[in-house]
Amino acid sequence: MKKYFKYLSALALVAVAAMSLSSCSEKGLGETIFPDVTDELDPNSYTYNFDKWLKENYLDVYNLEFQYRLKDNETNMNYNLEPATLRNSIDLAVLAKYMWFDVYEEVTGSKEFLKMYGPRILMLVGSPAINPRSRTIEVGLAEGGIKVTLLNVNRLGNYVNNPQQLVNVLNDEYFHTMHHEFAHILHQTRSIPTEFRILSAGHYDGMNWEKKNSQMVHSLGFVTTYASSALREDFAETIACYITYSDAQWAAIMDEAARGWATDRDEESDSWIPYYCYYYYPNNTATDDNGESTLTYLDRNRVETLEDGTLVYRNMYQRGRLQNNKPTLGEDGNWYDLDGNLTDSQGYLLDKNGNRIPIYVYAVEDDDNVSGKDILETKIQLCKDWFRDEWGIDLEQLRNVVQARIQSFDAAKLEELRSQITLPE
Amino acid sequence: MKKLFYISALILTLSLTACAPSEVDDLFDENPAARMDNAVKNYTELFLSDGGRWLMEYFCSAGEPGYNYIMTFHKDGTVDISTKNSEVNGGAFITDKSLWEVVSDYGPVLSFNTYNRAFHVFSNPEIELGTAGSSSSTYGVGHEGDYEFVIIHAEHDKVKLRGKKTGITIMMSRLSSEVAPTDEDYFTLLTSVLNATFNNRVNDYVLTTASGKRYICNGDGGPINSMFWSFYPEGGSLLDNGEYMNAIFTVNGVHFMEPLSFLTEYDENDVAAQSFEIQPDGTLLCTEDGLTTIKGPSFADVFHQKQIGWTLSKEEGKISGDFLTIFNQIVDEAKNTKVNNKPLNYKFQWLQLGYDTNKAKYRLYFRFNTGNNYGSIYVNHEIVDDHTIKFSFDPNAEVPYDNNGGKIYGWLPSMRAMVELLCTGEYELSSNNFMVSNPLLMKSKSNPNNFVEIKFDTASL
Repeated sequence: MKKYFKYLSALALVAVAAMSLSSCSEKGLGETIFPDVTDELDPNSYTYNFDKWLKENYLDVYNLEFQYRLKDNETNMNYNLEPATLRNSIDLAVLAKYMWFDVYEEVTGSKEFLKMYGPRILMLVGSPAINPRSRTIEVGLAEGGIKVTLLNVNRLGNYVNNPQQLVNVLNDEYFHTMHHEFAHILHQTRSIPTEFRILSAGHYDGMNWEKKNSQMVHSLGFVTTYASSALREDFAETIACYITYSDAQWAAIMDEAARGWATDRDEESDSWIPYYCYYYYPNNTATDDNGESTLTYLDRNRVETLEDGTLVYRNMYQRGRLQNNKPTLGEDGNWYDLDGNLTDSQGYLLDKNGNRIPIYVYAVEDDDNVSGKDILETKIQLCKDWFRDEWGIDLEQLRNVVQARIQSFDAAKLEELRSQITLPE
Repeated sequence: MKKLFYISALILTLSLTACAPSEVDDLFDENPAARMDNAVKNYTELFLSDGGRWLMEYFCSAGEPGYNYIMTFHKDGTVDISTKNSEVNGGAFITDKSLWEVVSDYGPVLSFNTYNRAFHVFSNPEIELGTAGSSSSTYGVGHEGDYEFVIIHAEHDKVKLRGKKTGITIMMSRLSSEVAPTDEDYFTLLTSVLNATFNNRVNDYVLTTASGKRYICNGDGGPINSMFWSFYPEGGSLLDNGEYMNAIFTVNGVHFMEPLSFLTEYDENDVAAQSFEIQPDGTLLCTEDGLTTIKGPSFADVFHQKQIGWTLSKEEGKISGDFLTIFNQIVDEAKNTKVNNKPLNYKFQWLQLGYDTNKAKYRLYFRFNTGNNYGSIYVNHEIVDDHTIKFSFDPNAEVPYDNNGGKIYGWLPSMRAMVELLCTGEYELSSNNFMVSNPLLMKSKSNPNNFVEIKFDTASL
């Protein structure tokens, strides 16, 4: 009996549940509670031409919303931020298309790649995001392969009337950031190659990267100090720098990566610490008596290698002391240092024949056990392979197109791009 | 078994509850999304209506005074924002155009979402106030000001906002062209009203509550114009009993960032004093309780304050009796008195009761001609009561006058008569303005026909 009652009760329970559900479903979903929202642009709006251009060039083509009106709930609310100016937003909109989206279209032959893998939202913020405690500055963010945030956009206003300076700043900060953040989106879709992961393992430092010296991290195989903070940043920075840095910039990085670096300053200091790759002995001779304490490090930028391989140093060692004073032009038309020694206009000591006097300069020993140049070259090659194998894109060609656009950028091009969008007076 | 029964009963109860008609439908005609959509439209219309010109009383943080912003909203999505304050454009008037929107966010939100040079300085994290590298540095946060505001309450001419990040309450009120035809006119008017309301040379004002409790207020020990107010009970001290509150000054009066709850007196709606409106006599009256007042110190106290040069009026009706007679004689004698058989031919410029900080004394201070033709005759002053002062002159004092003062005192009998008149009996001080106490009427108590208006130039403050 007890058993039957149990079954009956269970049946009753099911019946009650069924009745409950059926009673709720009688009403159905009904009409949507959300009001009709039209995506039609208002032709009377001050920004109609801009919004129309964004719709035609970003939304319709790449399914990308270009957010130039700042919504602070779309940002990290822990930061104090300011919106971008409308003028700078327009400049960045046309330039981002020219230097980023159009480049991929040219290399891949269609808009499909960025339509498929590109961000869905590109958000502009006028100011940088500053961490008040560490005083570090963020100029770009990529979130979940969906959104790229470009910060510090109002800085563009300082350069809008100087196209060459503008394009350099754009390249160094914004396009670099765009390619960096896009690289994040890509590696969030296809993972970073295993070989890349092990190249600098053990050398990443997420806590103190901002205090590091760029030349020193080059010698460890990182393209920037930020790259030394974490694997994913290393990968994104390598790609972004490869695309946006000029040949001269890369040559300098590789040169620095191949050297040893040392500092005579407290590395725990919060202030920026100079690193040197040359040193000399105050008595200008290397003997067994010269202990390490007698080394004086030299600014690499003040050392020059002559054609015959000898090194000369600008305005340096004389009678046991270092002089950093600028030379002065004598009445006889020659340059002199403060001690009356003949120099050239750059401050290099000259002999009586007008030749720069060689000095005994020694290279800082590269004792970090890392071949920075080799690692950087390997990283670049791995990035190229990854782009080719995973995405079918020739990274070198991409770089060539970007560099060509940078080199040819001038005032006329800027005006041509700007002329696509006009605002009412 | 029992458990099964309870579960059945619970499911039945929950099911019936879930299927019960929503109470929300009873309370509101529309669903939440539609209400939000309507609110956004209605608030947009409100800001645009009647010319769309509003005054925002903007506070960026508790550490700064409030700033006046005029915002004219346009239907094309732009807004013209004007201001004149110390933090923007080097303190000069500025107006700039940017975009605005009412958006649905934490409720309806008024957003200024593209950069405006007049406004977004307060949101710029790169602005470093305080000492660089120290704990007072604001690098990374700047002024901490909001540019998005939740709309809390709105009437046709008044909107109450709350800064989205700071939570600071910010008021907007419709600004008529009758108050100021142009935005720049408003800030010109604001300066003149401020100077007519507060005397920068007078530090201490008096707040009197509805129950008669008196508080001394000043600008944290300095001039109150800074809008950093400090308060302490009369008889107490700033150090021991001080309370602080920042405020904004508008052409209507003073509005504190938060209610002055430390007064521990509230109106019938349990609201503490927060807004004070300028009255015809210049004093400030609390708009919440209609009783709490802020007034200047007594006239005698104001006169006692240092560094004020009170100019004696020459205007008809503002000088009378012996003052008028002697004044005219001074003008005449300065021109015609002969020294070394030659008329002085001095042209009278002005006569002041001015405070000499070096000598720590008031003086009859005058100027003839142009150039460096100033002279001083030093007098002592004494406060008899809140409205009464008296003067004395000691010709045998160590320094009774300066070089020019001594010459004129010797040459012009009328100047000696003026000193004697000033130093005879007591003078009653009165004014129509109880805040700046300017101008003051100085009237002889023994002969009410002898009076002169004395005035200082607020523009020079």
